[in-house]
Amino acid sequence: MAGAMQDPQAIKALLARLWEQKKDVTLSRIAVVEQASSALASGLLTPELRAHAAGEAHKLAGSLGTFGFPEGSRLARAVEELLTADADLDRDDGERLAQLLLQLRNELQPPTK
Amino acid sequence: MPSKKILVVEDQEEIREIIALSLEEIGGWQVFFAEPGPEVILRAQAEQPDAILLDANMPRMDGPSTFQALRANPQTQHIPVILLTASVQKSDAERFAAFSFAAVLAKPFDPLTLPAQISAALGWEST
Repeated sequence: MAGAMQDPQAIKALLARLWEQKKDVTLSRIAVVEQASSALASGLLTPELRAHAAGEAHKLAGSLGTFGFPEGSRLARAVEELLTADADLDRDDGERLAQLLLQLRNELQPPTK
Repeated sequence: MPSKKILVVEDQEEIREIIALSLEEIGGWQVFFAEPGPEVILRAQAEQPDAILLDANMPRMDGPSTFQALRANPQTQHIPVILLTASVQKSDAERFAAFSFAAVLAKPFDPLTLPAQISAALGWEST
């Protein structure tokens, strides 16, 4: 394949910079799912918020791995599957959702020195 | 291989930008965008891209509906369309198989290899 074909390290640096620029979009999507999680814990999760959160989880599943967070995509897909299940969500589902979100947030933390 | 023109239809801004980075910087291709909906047909007609990279799950007009509209138009029906999707269940694959997409690529994708995946799907390596 012809074309620009830049050095992979240079491309990775560009990708890292793009992630820093777009991280807030990702965090706002997680915030929507966290809102749904809190509503579920309070017994106040509406079908509309559940659908919105499932949509945001779908987008996270499709994007995090592309930004270098494959485990983030896996966790987001688990969130999406939980939220799109046919059954009503119960207390156990709420705890599982909260746990997945905690793992997701941790996954996106920069590595500590 | 001469530079290719790729029309990208994707509603997530961060994904649009990473696709552009990948296809322009690695592929050396020209990338342009259309908003989901009727604009896709108009842009495809006007620009005659070498391929269209189409997200499956979009507001207003989803990927399969957009594909059908492209195929119904004599000026765009010949353009190969690659579906990009985060819907990876077996039932999704069966649904997409009903359409004659040039390829279906899963999200998340690797931006370092996306141009090679597209080239392989469209047989561009040998040209």
